[in-house]
Amino acid sequence: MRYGGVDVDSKFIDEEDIVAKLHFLEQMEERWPYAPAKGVLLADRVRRSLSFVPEELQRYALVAFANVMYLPDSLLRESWGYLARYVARGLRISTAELFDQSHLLEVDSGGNIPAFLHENSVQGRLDTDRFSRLNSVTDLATNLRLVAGSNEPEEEIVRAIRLAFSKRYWLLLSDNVLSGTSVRSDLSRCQRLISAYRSLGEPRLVPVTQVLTSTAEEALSPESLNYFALRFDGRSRVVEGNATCGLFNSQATLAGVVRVSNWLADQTWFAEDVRLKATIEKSGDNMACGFKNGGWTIVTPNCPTNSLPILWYDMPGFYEGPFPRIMSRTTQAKGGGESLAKTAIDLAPQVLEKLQGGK
Amino acid sequence: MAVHFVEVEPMDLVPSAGAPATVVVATPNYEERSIGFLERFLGKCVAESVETTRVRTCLLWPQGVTGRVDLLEELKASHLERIEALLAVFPSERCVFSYPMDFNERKVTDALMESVESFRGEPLNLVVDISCMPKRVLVSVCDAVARAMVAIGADQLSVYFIYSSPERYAALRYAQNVGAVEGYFSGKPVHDWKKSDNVAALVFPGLQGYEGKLLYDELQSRVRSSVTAFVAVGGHDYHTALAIMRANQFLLEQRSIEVLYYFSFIDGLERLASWVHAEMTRLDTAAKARPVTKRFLLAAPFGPKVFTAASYFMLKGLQQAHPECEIEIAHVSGFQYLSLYSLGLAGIAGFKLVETGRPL
Repeated sequence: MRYGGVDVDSKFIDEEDIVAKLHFLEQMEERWPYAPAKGVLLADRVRRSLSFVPEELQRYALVAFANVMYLPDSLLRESWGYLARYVARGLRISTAELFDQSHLLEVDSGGNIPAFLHENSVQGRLDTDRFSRLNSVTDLATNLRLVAGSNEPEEEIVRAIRLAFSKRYWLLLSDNVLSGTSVRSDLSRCQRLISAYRSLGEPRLVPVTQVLTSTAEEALSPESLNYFALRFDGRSRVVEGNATCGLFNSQATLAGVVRVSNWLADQTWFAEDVRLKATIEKSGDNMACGFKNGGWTIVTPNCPTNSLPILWYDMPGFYEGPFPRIMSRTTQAKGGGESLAKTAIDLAPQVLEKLQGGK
Repeated sequence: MAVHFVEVEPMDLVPSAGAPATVVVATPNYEERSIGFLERFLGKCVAESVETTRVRTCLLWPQGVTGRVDLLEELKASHLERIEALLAVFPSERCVFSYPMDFNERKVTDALMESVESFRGEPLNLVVDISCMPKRVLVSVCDAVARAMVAIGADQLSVYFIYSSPERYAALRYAQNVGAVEGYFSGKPVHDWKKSDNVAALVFPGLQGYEGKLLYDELQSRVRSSVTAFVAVGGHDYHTALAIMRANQFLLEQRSIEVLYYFSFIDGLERLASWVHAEMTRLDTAAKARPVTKRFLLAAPFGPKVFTAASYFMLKGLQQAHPECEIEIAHVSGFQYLSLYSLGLAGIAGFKLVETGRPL
């Protein structure tokens, strides 16, 4: 049988249920297209991706593509509605009270706060007397430092800080918590800021996550991640020898998918790709199975780096994965979040004096 | 009457001192999850020395006259054996009835009412474990529950549903469950339903997919039909959700079908309540128009049974407010005796039925 100009074993296709799985993805994409693919049909992208893969590994690339967990934007948007109801229920308040009593923060600013508010039909998103604009831990720390450094801090900043600390809850929104790296840092910083500024109010920190993995849970304390919409565990992970992997019909197929992943990571143009260099260094491995050996087949509106690079890696003319990713980080340069937070914490006595003196 | 559901912690239903008495209705069978709640609930009652007169169990015991499979019967017996000592502590009633052939609904509802009546005059918690209850039996139980709510009153009777999820579903090697789409309320096959063109249907897709397809093909012939599909993406078990989505690909192919996701049982119940509320509003508006157009509201809960119970109460409430509308719950006839159907026990969820307005 030929597919995309390559020979594919019919028996393998049957055993791995590839026809139904790929067709399902095509249907999903027809309804909810994968935006970075810019309108190119999935079937065409799959064929193109396969054409770059050595013949003996093509079947494994194909089965990896067929087992993608495609989470379209519509699903993720709906999850914000669910999460608001879920958190409100957990805190034993109404959703209206949740929005009144919460300050919203997001991990890796990417539009989660407007999406959360829009999906829940919350009016007045830009009303600064209702929602403080300090929407990330870095924003918060930066503004606290500004207050410390100014004899007459700007009224707007003071109001925004007071408003944030006056809320009962701080909802820390994140879209994907796959390895837990970013959220762990932000959780720690938030908690320390709350503690340092507790005389302004002691909001309860509530992490709210759209997509969570079991590996992130292992990296963080699971009880801190109660509120999530979708959770993926070892059954969806492509890593060497994963006995719990439930994606394929056999361990031999899993081993094959790991082989094609290694093939990609072994290519010089991958290993030396300047866009990836810093991410590979931070990952601490060759990223054959994704950032920090994620091994996921999760595809969100911008496929995460924790998923298999054969899904998202894109180097025109060398390899073009079917779910190309727009890289969020190419240098991994630190935003200074930790040092900003630390300074803001160290300066707490001065800041508090100014804030309270201005009452 | 409108109803909605509130999530409860199942083990919190163990009666503490001074709390209402409790009747637990369950259907133990060959699936491990069928005794999961009973075992834990009664175990906790014993551990907490709950007065033996405050709890009563009513076991519904379907018995196939034909199609009896010894292996499954053995498993069922061994499950019962596992909880026998616990059952013996509290008054227990066992209602044996023929199923699926010669199913006598009366026998089931009488047994349930008898258990409820044994606590007449005092507040009562009625806890119905629907995990492994055949859907046809479940609808009969819902009938009995609705009657009990009227007879006893919402101030005296609190109703809870328990649903235990399996670790996984067994591989279904044969199309054993294929049958005709029928309606629980009318008892008629789909092609004999009233030919109303103004249909609003909602589908909770099933494990195998053909159920929704059969129903959709029938609805295609009705000019003004709208179909909403509620697709589970389950917070903890995306794998099962994905298998169901793959089995129901036709839902995605039909652009006219609105696809909505739900992330947990309680989320699905809330979304179902929103759908019913929207229909209620539509019917309120339509009722002012002349002539009134008859609307046919159809629920097809092919997924977890908790949506069958919810559909029953929500649609009945809707029809009570708007007797001019027709309602139906679709199911697929057939039988399931060629596999274990499900394996293991993943979790137990509980839901309280809350009514607002007049009783059913």
